[in-house]
Amino acid sequence: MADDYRVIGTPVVRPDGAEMISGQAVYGPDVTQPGMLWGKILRSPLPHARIRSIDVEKARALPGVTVISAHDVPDRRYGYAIEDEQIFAVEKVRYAGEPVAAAAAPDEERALEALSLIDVEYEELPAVFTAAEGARDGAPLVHEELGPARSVYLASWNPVPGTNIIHQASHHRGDVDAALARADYVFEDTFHASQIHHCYMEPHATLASVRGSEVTVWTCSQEVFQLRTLLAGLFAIPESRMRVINTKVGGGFGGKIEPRLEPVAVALSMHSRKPVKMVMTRAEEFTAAAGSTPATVTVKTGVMKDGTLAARDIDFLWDTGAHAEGLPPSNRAMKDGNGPYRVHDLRISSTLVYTNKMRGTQLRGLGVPEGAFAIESQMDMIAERLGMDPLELRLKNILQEGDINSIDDVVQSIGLQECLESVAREIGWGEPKPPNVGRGLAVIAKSPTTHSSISAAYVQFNEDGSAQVLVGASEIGQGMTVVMCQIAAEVLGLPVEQVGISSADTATTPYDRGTFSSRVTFYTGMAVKIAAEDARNQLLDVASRMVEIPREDLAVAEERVVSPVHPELSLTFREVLERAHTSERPILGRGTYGGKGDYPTLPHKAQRKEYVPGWKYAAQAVEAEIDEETGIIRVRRIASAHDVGKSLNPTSVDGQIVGGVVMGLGYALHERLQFDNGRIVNPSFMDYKIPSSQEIPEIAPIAVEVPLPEGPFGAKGIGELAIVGIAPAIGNAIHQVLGVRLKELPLFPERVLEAVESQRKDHGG
Amino acid sequence: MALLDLKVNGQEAQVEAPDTALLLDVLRERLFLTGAKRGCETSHCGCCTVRVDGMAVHSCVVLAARCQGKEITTVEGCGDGMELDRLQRLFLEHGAVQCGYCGPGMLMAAKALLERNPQPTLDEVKKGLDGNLCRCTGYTPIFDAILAYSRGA
Amino acid sequence: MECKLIRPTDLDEALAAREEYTDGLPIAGGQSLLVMMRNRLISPGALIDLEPVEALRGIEVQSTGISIGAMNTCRQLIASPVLREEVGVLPSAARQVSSTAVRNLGTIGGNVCHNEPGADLPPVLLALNGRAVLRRRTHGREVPLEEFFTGYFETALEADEILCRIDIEHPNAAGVYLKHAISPEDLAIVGVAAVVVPDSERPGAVAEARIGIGGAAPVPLRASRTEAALKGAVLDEETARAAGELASTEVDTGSDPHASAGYRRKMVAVFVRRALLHAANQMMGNGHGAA
Repeated sequence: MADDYRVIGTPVVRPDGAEMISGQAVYGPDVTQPGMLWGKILRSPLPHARIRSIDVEKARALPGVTVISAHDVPDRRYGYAIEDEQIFAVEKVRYAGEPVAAAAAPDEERALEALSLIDVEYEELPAVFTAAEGARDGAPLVHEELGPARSVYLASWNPVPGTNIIHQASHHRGDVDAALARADYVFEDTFHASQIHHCYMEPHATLASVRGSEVTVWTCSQEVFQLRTLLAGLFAIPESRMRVINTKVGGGFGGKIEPRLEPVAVALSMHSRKPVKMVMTRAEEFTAAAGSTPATVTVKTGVMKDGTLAARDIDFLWDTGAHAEGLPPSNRAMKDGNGPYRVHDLRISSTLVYTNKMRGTQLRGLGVPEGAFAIESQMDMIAERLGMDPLELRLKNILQEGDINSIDDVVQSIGLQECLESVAREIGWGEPKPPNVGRGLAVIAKSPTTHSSISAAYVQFNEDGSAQVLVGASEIGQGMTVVMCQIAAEVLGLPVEQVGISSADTATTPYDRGTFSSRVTFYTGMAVKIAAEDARNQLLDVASRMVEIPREDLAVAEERVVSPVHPELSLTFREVLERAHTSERPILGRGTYGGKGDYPTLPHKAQRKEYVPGWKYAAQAVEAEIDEETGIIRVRRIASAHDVGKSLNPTSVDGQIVGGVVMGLGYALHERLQFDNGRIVNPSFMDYKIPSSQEIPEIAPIAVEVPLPEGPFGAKGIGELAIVGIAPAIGNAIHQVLGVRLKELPLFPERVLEAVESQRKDHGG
Repeated sequence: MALLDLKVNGQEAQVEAPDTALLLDVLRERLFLTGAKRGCETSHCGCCTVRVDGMAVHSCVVLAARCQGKEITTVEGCGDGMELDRLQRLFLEHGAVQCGYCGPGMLMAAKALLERNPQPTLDEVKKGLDGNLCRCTGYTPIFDAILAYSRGA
Repeated sequence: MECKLIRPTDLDEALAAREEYTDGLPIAGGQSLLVMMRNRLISPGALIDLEPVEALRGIEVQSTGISIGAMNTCRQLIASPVLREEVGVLPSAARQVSSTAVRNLGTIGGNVCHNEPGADLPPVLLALNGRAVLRRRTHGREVPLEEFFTGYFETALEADEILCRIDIEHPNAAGVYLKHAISPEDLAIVGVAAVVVPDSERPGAVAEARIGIGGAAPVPLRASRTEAALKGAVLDEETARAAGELASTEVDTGSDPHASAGYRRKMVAVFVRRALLHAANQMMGNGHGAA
């Protein structure tokens, strides 16, 4: 496809950039309303306990203070996947950090004072803190009874009643056992991924205001429409009376998908009859919001002598904490767990277990990083045993155009081999290096979103010929606003500065499933493209009547209607709009786009004719220097190549890659939530380290363009994949230098050293 | 409570605040300058970075009372009306702003660095930003923007 | 209850306030204190602001050593020509304290009085034979830093005292501070300062080696048995290795989210060895200056 685009593919600066870098953007914690109160939550100090009594009377006696607990709010259970949560703990608490009561007061100090006056009497219960403990027979139950599963999850939901196993499923193709028996070698290894935190810089913040019968919620959310539906249902009011307005969102990474403060803020506002603002402290973020969903992954791979992968049996055991938000990652792992490899005989099973800890939820790449650490580490172990170059082994087995992937989709628009070859070249694979320096590779893939993924958009022409895009997806930093403006500008023949955008307000923007799973560029992007085409056609209709030239002979270019057939024609958009607005009708383009869910376990899978397009592939390579005496790993260079379909905005694409890589670096080297009997012991940026400026290696982002026909201008999503392969690539580099294999994340210096020492012992040293 | 005489972005302001009020709270809650962000309140994330007498400080660990008689500069003091200044423009051009929450603090730290050291090396830039966390960009675009500024790009 | 802010204009007023406000605390740079207040770990009735007190400033070269005012910020330590010239190891450690913003306001006095495990200045000041110069309204006293650091986040500072200055020796020595941390702005998992005084009679030998260790125990400490073993030694690879091993038996390491006790102990051995060898190289290179 020849790239003769004006706006697509150029490094346009974000339209919302100026308000952000001038400090004027209004984020969640910046919202105010006249007369507002501050809300704070009293949280359980215990991981599992019966609530004997709650006495709020002393707190209520404080002037100007509203105090509520479970008695004062609807007792409906809610949750996007499984309905297993209530606004406040009822009868018992299930993790240290669970909301028990809340207070609203004119300032935060007073609200905290009120909380300190609430007496809660607990009776501690035996608790479970790991998925393995939780899955054991006779383990204390986190939830004695469960609410129903919702929407798309219903079909694939398979709990084991009377246990903490909230979901168990498997995806099976061919005859794995026979194929493993036929294989020349069988490798079986178990890996542990840690629980990390999203660490968006902006804490959760919400302001709820109940006025008459209308509720307005300002919040920093990745999915305003899902949130609206949930809140309206919870408080039993029509969705038409529940308005969720997104503030600027200071990062999400999956941590701002599900409700956190919103139900409490609405309840406090209903009781106090005042607007109520709530902002989480960073300690609350670490102990009560959510982390990733950690997994133990056991991989059994059968390999032929020539390196051909013969069969794979992968078992995931997930620890979802006290709420089942780990369902999406546990399901995704069944599709994506095998990585981008051609393996016919395949079994992937996934078990999700409740424990008495803060919940695990979706986090950038949900479910893919955990599997990739296992698969990509084991690929290097296989290569070593076979005496093959890890690059060769991968090239031999990766998916190619036309192959059938793990879930029986035909592979299309794949640029993986080019990705792998380019990172190998970039990192100097096979070139000489000092003995304390190692290089490692990983290839990764992520399937398209598993939700039924629907988006809508409006594109409206303004009086002066400029245009307005309205979308319901959230800008959380990923650069959606600029890409949507570029798409509209390209279609409309406008300079990109002439396109404005509004997003994520349930009362004014059209429906969108929201921002998750690298879906917005693709789905919202298509909706915008279609809406812009609709608006352009309407504009040309009006122009056609004005100049009496058939629409087919008209086109748009540089804010004008032109005609190849009538080169003398030049009509400005403003002139056409004047006509439309005075004697015809406004020009409002409408676009919708959707893809349906495709769970591997759905019974109709076998008959499915369509496939959900947009598998994303990438290859990553690292070069790291290892200090054998201290175990410290200094990553020096990283190359990350992504098959992006078409890079709509190179600055944004590079930004997503480099940002994801650095998040992957933290995930690999030092990020983990640490627990002591269910309580998080490192709830601050001092004790939970995310990468800082001083740790940043040289990073080479590479965009490989193999256009995806279904995507807007050929584009695929790019948001998540860059986090995925860094950990195994570094693990592989460590192995190259020290000869030890680390199977547990993060790759702490201490763990590196332990591995070296135990290897010495094994070799009788 | 105390009456504080502060000079913020060149303008005098008198505010009433508790004796030991923090500069961050005074800026945000009393002067409605919300460019300094609440990120961690433990002096680790740097989202609240402002400049006091030219130095980058984390305003969550600065007593407002101590800033009397000093020049406080916040992100709102950068640029001219609707015009961004050169460093702000370079931040945007290099993609140094994604979610933007760390942006104002990063910018203030970068300005303090560039004033003290107009031609920093890459390592000096990294060191100069050691009090500012960013979760989106991977920092590299921020380094690039600062280096471009110092090169006069 | 609202916390009062007292702003004395000189040391006498500060000391009087310190005596008067029994539930008060002196505030230096405030970089840790204000965080502890925000987290409600402490709730003092008053803060006595030491910023206006001139007597706590300045860096003075005296016949016996250097006297550093407690209110010197890390930024000032780094910029001080006197320190750079005479005891380079101190500004070099100050450069490794936390982040730029914290170094701009955080003071040497605050760093020492907070006594947080893993802080960078205490091991260096210990190795420089530092002494805390303390005052109360009626009189003053001096305490060697080994005795000043009494426990986990605890010091010998009494409730009515103010740390005025830290006096260090002015050694004709080589000095090194090595820090082991995940990222440079972190607290040290282990921080080791080595100050090595050359033996003027025997080239290559050390008259005295002083080793300060932070992060490895509830309190920063001197590795005194190791120091004794090094008297008169020639600092080669073997001696340094043995010294590291010995030093690792002198620390009472603990576990925290960053590292286990066992790992810390091993790192003491590694970093003491590395610091001694660095210092020895420096000594051979220029023979003086603790640079």
